[in-house]
Amino acid sequence: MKASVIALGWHTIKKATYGYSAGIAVYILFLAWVYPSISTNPAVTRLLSSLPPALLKLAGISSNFSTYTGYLSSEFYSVIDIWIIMWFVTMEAMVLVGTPRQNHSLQWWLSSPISRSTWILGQFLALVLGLAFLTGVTMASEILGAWWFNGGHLYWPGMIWLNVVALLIGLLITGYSMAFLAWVPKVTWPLTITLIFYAMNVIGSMAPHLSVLSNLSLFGVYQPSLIAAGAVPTLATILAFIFGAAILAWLASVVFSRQDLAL
Amino acid sequence: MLHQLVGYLPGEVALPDNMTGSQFLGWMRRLRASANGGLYAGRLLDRFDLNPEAVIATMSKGTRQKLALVAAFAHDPAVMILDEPTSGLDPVMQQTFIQWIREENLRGKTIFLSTHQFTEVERTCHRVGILKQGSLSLVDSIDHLRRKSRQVFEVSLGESRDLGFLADPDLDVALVNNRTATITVNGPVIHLIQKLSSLPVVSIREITQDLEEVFMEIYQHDEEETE
Repeated sequence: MKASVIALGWHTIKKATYGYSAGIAVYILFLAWVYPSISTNPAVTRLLSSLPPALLKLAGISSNFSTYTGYLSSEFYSVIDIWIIMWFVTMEAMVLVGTPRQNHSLQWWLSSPISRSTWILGQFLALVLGLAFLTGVTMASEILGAWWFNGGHLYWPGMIWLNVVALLIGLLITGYSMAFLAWVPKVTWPLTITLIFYAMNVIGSMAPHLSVLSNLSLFGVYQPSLIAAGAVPTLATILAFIFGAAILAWLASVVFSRQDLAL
Repeated sequence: MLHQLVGYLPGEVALPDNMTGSQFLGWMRRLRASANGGLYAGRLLDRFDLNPEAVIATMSKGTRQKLALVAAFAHDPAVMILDEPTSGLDPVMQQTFIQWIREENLRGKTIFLSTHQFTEVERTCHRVGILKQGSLSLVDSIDHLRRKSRQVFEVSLGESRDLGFLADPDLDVALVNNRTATITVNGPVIHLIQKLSSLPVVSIREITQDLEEVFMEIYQHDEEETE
């Protein structure tokens, strides 16, 4: 693998990555800033207890706001973080692979002495790098928020595992996004599949008799309130995500190598 | 690696619009890992008077074409493949391009040029291939192509004569005035010379056919054969 191929991919998405990261940092710091007043406000507690459990579960607000990490798991990780990752990965995968195929600028990169599989694996790794950057900024912002506004109170395992699981989900979305874009240069497929997985998880969470849908969805493993309370995914789950992403990256390289391209 | 030996300029230039020209050339150099890429690219930039600092999306068609030329051949490849290379270039740059192609050829490079510009072919190429309906219908040297084609002469007489009587199946006669005619010889030239021997000929000038005429003749001939 040539480092320059990954570097080119990173150059392509770095501005967007910085933009998403800045948004995440500002949002988390804002949440951290208002946390002390929310955690001591009885009206908020009353409001939460008055809402239907299914609605709270859907919004990811099944943990209370008594801890900083529990509060962030509800207000950030439950919906916003996963949507940011879904959107970031599918859109930037399109920018890396789909757009150069559509506008034919890809032929320039493929005219250099790098194989097609090297090129697409380089783009995959660049996107994983972007994902890791977002995760790093998220963690740093949470730590900074805890230190700055909340006297350094932070439940480290919860914070780390929330981000690790979000990263693993992003890794798998990266894998199938690359595989689909290697086949057809349109964002429709990866976006549709991601939304279907998300919808399956939402339906499974709201209707107990359909909980099988949550188990089938890749988002089923993402239970922010439970993770924030100390429940961590099994090693088998973690390995399954990593192995799955690796298989999909390999599939992307095979599919891409067989495409009818200009070079 | 084959990619290091070959440079390819596509017919439709599609560049990564969000980069500057310099960034694009820099990435091409890094991906090719070419030691001489920077030096030769610099020479090409000077040659084509190109400032690559602008964002590609803001460049004119001609500037994009020049940037594509530089990017395609910055690694100084031994084999160059160009598809409609002067499309979008102004006449001065077309001249510069033709001169550069000649020089590269003298340096020993093999150059494949695909174009509809006959003057470009005449001025740069040694051998020509004519593609018709996706297949190569002819490959020959330019000199040989011209020799194989019909010969056309302009004949002037010292006094007024009706040259129409010269016409026969081997000679097509077009009168220019009552002393001059353009005669196309379809067979051996000796036939024309024999016919002119009894006339007070002042001058005979061969009219050279350009490549376009040769091309059209071959094309029409092929079509007639097909019918």
